[in-house]
Amino acid sequence: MNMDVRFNVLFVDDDDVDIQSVQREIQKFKVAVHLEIAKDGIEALNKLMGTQGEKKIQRPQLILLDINMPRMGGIEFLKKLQSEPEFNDIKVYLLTTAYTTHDKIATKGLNVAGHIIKPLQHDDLMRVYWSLIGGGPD
Amino acid sequence: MSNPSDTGSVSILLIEDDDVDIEIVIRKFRDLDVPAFFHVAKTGIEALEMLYGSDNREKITPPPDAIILDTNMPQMDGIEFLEKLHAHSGQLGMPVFMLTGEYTTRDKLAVHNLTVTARIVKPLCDDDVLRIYSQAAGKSRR
Repeated sequence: MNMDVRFNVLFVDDDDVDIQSVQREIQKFKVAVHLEIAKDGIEALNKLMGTQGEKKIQRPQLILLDINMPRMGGIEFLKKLQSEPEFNDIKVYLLTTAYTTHDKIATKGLNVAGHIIKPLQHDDLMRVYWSLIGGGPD
Repeated sequence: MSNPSDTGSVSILLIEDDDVDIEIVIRKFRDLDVPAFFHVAKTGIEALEMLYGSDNREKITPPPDAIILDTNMPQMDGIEFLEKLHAHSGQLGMPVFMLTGEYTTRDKLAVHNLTVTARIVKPLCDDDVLRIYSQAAGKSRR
C-alpha cells in the first residue's frame, strides 16, 4: 500500500474554528493531504471550475461539506455538483454538527458517500481514507 | 443458510421493539443478498439475557457477530443497555451499531467511552448494511 499518495481535499465550511480543527486533524494524519478551503457552495464551485476569478484547484478526491451554510447551502451545492459531469463522481462526505433521519432522506440520491459528525477525528479520517482507496481493513 | 462458517453468513443480535422496524432491517439485508441470521430481542433486558444467559434462558451460542441496537426503546433504553453491556465482566467485543433518528456533536462526544462501533442514522441504507456485514464478518474470522 502506497502511503506516499497525496490526497486533495476540498473542505466547504463557513466556520473558522471548525476549519482550524479540521486542518489540525488532517495535519496529524499519516497520509499527505492538500486541503483547499471554501467558505460556501459558491466559492467551492468557483474553485472547482476556475470561474469568477478563482484559480482552478487540482481536482479533489474528496469533498468535505457542511450542510448548513449561508449564501449557497450544502444541499444546493450538492445539486449543482451533481449536474457537472466533470465533478459529479467526486466523493462527498457531509461534516456536520447534527445529522438526522430527515437530513439522510433529503440527501439521498445526491451522491453523498457518508457523513461525519463534528468534531472530525482520526477514526473518521481512517474510515474515509479506506473508502477512498477502495478497500477495507477486513 | 445452514452452516455460518461455510457460507460467510453472520449472526446478528437485533435489539428493536417495533415489529415494522424489525422487518425493515431484516428485509434490507435480504434484498441486498447479504447473508445474515437475526436473533431479535425486543428489550435491552431480553438482549442481555440472550448474550449472557439467565435463569429463564440459555445464552446464544456462539455469541452473535454483531449487535444492532435501536436507541429508542421503552423499558431499558439503548444507552442503559450499553452501560450494562460495558460493565459486564464478560464483555464480548463484537461490533455494536446504534440505530438512531439523529446524531449530533453532543452524542459523539458523550458516547466516546462506551463500546459503540458506529451510530447509524435511520433509515438503514445499502452502505450501512455492507458496513455492518463487513465488520461482523471480520470479527467472526478472528
